[in-house]
Amino acid sequence: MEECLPLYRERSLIEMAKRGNDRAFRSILEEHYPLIYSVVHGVLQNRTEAEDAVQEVFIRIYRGLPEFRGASKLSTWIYRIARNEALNALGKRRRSHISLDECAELRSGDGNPEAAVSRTDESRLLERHMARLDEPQRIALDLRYRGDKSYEEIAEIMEIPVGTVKTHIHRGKAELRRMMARSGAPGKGIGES
Amino acid sequence: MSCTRIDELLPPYLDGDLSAADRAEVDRHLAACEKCRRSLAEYERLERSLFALRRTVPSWKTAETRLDERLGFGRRKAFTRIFLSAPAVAGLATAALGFVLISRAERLAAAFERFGSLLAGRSQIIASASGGIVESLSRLDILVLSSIYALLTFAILLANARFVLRWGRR
Repeated sequence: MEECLPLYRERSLIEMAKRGNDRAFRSILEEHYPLIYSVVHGVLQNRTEAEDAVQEVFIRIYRGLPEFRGASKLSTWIYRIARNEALNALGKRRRSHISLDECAELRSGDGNPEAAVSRTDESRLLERHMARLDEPQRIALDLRYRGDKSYEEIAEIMEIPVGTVKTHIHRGKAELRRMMARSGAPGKGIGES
Repeated sequence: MSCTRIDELLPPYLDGDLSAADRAEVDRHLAACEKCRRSLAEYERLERSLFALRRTVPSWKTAETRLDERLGFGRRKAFTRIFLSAPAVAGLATAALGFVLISRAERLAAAFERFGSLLAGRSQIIASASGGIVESLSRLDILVLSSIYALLTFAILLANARFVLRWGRR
């Protein structure tokens, strides 16, 4: 799998963006957008909240880029910003007493309880189960599948060994399969209609 | 190996992440155990569903538009798009031309008249042609110039309205 951006191009884009080049800044954001969305979604497990958090991450990158010295990889730096922002949003949600279950329910039915029951969209069901996984498993799975990252890239981004990434993903998948089976949709409910 | 152990090994098995010995062990078990073969099929379907999550990521364009609104880039873009567009520039040029024609109509006619007289001294043919122009120009009064200006402005206004409506739908 390809690297996010070749290193020389990444450095040149960072320098241009620091000098106020809007196109360079947008290129950086566009390139890392799947990563940002995967991370914030991995934490929040809610599309609307994730989209709002993505915007906050963009602003924080916009403000923080002049201070970026390149001590870590850009993707790692962006990952930290995205995760912190998502955790902030999660904290706000908790303070407003909306549980993850309620959130998953709302999401699965777009706020309509009847729709939540009748919904047959397998990916929604899968997302509901993903919301119940541990955070590192959720983020690793989101980065792998939503963000289309390789194990090596995920390891670099999350700053953990590749073996740990694999463990998170394999255990997450095993847990998901069990949950899908318990929800009465073993296999059929996942990928086939 | 027990079915529980095999179940743990199926995700790395599908990823091609097992040692040759473990892989052979899983293969042997799968050949004999229907329950674990069903588990494998479920993992395969789960894998496909997980890959389909990629399609749930909202488009970059959507995110970029929201960012534009937030940073004010959208307003700047809209300003540039409207005020530096071809119809807008044409409109401004027409307005400037109309202003010149109306405010300097008499002076322009006099200038043409002087120019015609000058040419008349040089050649009969040019003199007759320029005389015609001078005659026409001298007939132009404020009302005619205003009408031409109004027509041009109206045409540009229509072009602008069409442009703005089309832009508004984006």
